Amino acid sequence: MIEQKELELIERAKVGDRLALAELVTRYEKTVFSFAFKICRNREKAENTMQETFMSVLKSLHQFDGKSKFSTWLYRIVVNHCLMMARSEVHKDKFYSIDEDELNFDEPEVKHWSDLPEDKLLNDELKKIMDEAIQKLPPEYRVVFMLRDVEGLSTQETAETLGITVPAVKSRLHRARLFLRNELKPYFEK
Amino acid sequence: MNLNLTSKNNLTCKEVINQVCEHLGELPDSPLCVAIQEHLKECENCSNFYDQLEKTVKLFKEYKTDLPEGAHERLLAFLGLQDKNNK
Repeated sequence: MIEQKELELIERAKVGDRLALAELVTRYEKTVFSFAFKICRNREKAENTMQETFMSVLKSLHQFDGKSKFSTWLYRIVVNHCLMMARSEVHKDKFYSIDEDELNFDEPEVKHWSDLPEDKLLNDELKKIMDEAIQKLPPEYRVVFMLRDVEGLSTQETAETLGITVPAVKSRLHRARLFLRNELKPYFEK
Repeated sequence: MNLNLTSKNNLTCKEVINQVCEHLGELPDSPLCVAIQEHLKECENCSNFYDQLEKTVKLFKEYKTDLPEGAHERLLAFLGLQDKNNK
């Protein structure tokens, strides 16, 4: 029922119903802003990305054929804008290498990350570490981790959104998870 | 990876860690995943590693940020839809 209502809204928006366009934008603005922030870790850049994403949506809405979920189509657009911004601002050599060799697991002892009280879990120090860790990841890995693990898209949906194969999603996800775990390790084991 | 799954003891920690990383949160009832789960029950290192991966993902999921104040209005204005602000 929700999907049918959304399709009707999209059809109205396609023929230029401005109220429907505004409703569609309102419905998805938090999703788009939140995703853009997770990729660029900067509120101003995330807002710019959100604006550019919806401008693209308005221009290309007539191309949405309903074969995929609207959210999947929307993610495709916001991902493209995030990747464009990331590539234009940061020189490639600033990203860490996440070659398989460097992620080889070679720890004699794996410690238990003790459970921290809720108010300590996402404190400013940890958020800073998480921001830095994400920004070290090459954007192509960042978007896979965010779409699959954080936004909860399926592996297939993630592959379709990014235009890559399912094995490529799995490979990038595997490396991104290992890399991020390694980056958080010093905080939990100090 | 060519794994002999006739015994859980045939899985090395390195193999388990690679597999749990790939299949985090989606360990189905395949022979490989059953063997991994058996290994996790008995191996503290691998079990801790699995927990660490889960915690890493959970933290990134929980790290959210709200839409900045005025961003909705600025967005509609940017799109030329400010007169349709129905928020």
